[in-house]
Amino acid sequence: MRIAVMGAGGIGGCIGALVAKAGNDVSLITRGEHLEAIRANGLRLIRPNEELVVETNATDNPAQVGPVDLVLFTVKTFHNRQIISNLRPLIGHETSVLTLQNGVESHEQLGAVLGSQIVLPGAFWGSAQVQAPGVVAEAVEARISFGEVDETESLRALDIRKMFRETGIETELSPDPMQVLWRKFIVLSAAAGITSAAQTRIKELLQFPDARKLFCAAMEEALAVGLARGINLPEDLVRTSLEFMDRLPDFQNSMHTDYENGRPTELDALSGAVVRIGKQVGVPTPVHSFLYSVLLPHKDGAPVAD
Amino acid sequence: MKIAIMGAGGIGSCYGGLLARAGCDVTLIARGAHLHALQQNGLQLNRQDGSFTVQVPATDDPSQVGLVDLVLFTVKTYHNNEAIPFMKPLVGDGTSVLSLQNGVESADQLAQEHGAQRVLPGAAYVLGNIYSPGVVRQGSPQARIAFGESSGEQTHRALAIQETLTSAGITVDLTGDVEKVLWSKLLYNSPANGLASAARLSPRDLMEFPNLADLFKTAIQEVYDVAKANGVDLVDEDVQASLDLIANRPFGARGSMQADLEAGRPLELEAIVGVVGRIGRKVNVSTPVFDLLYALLLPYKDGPPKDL
Repeated sequence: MRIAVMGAGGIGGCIGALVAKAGNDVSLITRGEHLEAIRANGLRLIRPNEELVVETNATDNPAQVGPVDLVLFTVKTFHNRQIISNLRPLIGHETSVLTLQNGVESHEQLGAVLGSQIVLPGAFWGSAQVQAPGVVAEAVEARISFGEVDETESLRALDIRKMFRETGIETELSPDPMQVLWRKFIVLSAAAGITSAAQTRIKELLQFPDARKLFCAAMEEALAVGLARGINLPEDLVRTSLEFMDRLPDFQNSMHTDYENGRPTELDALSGAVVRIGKQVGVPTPVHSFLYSVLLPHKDGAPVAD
Repeated sequence: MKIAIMGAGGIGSCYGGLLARAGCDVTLIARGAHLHALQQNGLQLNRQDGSFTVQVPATDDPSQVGLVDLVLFTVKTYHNNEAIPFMKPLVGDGTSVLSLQNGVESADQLAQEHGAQRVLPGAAYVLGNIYSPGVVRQGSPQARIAFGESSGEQTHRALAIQETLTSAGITVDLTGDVEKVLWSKLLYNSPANGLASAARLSPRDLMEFPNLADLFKTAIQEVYDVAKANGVDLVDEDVQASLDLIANRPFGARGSMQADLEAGRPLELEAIVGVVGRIGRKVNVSTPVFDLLYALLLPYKDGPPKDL
């Protein structure tokens, strides 16, 4: 399959390396030092149990790639406004765009510009971050869930699942991708918010009963927003999500890492979205409003005020 | 008047240095490198209106000092469990203990060990930091103390303490409502330290964000509601006054707990942040903002968390 990875950072780099290794024709689209390093030395992926280097096309210009079968959309959400229209050269008659961004709004933003019929919403489960230019470290093994917005099992979706499965990535084709997005969103918005505000990794943080309570309260809030939005979500999601988090190995959430390094954060797509959608559906979100406010001064990178 | 400064860190050394310069019989009780430097070179106090060095007795052993007339209690609150019994050799029948710690709970903790009749609650208003061992920088123009008897009476001993402190150049408010004084300080100090620590930016810088200005107001209101439910004589205008106080601080200026957080030191989290929820629960006042702040800052209470 001819694949373009739009945003070959942590998540895009991780998946891009795995699909390239499986023999797909992959172009990594990225920028700066990371791009230079990939061009010079290939992309190195450090996995929990193996390490691999892939040599594949890398560029900062989608026009040099041309139409592909599949675009994997993995840029940070705060770039969406500028970047979505840059995807056009990648789009042909048979192109699908699978978004694996955080949050629950990405497929709508892509659909508004590119046409909703070509977009498949998806969620990436795992933790992968750029460790050094050209080097991506995968701390929690990648897993993908996705589906068609109209909940059908299309041929293209089956093809994409087959392609991912051949790379060894655990992949689920879901009949209810909105549920998939929200399940991740509920855990992630809570975890990203509290670990960034507490500047503490989730494993350490969850040892404190007060922080556990806060984590659950934040998830309850987002769950209530999702249910009010009409998303089909299990009532025991908070309990099962907490158990899921307790089972994960120690890792640092990417928003926490971005905050710590003075980079822009995905606050608007996470706690900001809980608050925003909560207002639309009339569900109060005091915990996420608080987290949003406390994290706001660092949203666009380290504050320069002092 | 024989005086001991129990906990001659940044703040204790400011008051101790001023008292020593005025010729008072004062002993500094300190530890570690700061103590060693005090014993070798005396105390150097750097102030905006001039610096001075004063030779002043310093020790880490209260039993070498013996009974005193006045203890200024200036250790960090998280050392209270050890420090309060440790200072026993200083305290006799005629000893007054003036508590100058952050928070509103110190007087009770001191009273349990040393007797309520010996304790005078008070509050310190001075920016004092150990710049290097033996060298303390007083960042605020004034060194102020507000204190009083818990009963509100103007006793002879309170007046005598006021006179001694005043003669050393310390600004003193002897108050008939010390509970109100302590809660008035908590009203801005807890929101300023708590929110600014969680948001990792100075209180004045945060005020530039409307969301944060709202949050400051909500946090101040929580402290206010807890104080009122405790019968403290605050008025509605005190909420806005505290907000103005934070809004009028210099850009970049940090409170003591935020400075401790940034320096990787333990935090007075219980005395400054935890206290609001803890006392709130006793009087059935909910404190959602302070509960969140407490939960978020807890991993740093004893210093930065170590990666697992």
